[in-house]
Amino acid sequence: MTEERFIDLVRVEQEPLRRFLLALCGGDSALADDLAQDAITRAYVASGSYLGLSSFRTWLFRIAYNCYVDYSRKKHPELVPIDGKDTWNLPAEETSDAAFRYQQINQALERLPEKEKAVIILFYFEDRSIKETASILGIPSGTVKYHLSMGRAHLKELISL
Amino acid sequence: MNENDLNILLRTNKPVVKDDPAFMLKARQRMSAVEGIKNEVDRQRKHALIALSVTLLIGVAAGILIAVFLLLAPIDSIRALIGEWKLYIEVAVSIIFTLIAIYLGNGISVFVRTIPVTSLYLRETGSRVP
Repeated sequence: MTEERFIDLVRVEQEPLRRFLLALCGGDSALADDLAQDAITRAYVASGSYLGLSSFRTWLFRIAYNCYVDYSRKKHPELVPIDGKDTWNLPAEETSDAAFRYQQINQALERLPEKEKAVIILFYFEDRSIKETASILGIPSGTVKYHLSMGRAHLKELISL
Repeated sequence: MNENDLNILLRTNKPVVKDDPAFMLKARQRMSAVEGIKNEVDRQRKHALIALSVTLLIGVAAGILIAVFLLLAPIDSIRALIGEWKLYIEVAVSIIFTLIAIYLGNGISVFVRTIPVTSLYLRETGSRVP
């Protein structure tokens, strides 16, 4: 894969990639962008070994998720958001009701186990299929369905509107 | 909250990312830096490989020359030569082996210095990536 081709593909995928990491990072956009940069760099280093067995998007998201997992494993407690970021880069025109919903969803997601959170984000925010989600997270489809079911049940308890 | 409400809530409240033109610029800069590191690693590995190959060739050539000399020269003349030059040969051998050790050590140190970068490269090209 040439550098230009790689950049073209990344340009298309950068927005969903940043959104995925933003949701995973609890709304910390600076951290999400740093992880996205890290993921793109790792993907570029490994681009020679990309065989096209999965779509570029799935491949890139899998690397991004691994970056997030690596970060989560070594992060210091002081870097963990206490109550989650409250905006998710909310557009200025959004109402306070929308801000409240964002905050509730964000805080509820932060309380989910890592895998459930990732599955919910990929399935609902990124509109990925079960198969794609399984491929990104490196787990079987049945496990994705289980996490999705558990995640839904937990969110129903956590979100009260 | 029922299943449908949750579905609607999540699908209509996706996170919004700020449009950031500097993002791709920064990504390109990092890719250029990676390219530079890859080139430097390749260059150093090539140099180390050449150094090791040259050392090996010199060793083989020296061995062949000594073997030919020992096979062709009359035994008496070899004994006489060794007896006459014994001290000098011992000194020369220690110097030659010291130089070879320095040469090999330099080649090995080049490999060692490139390990952190190459390990990152190998890790990223490893089995974790589909």
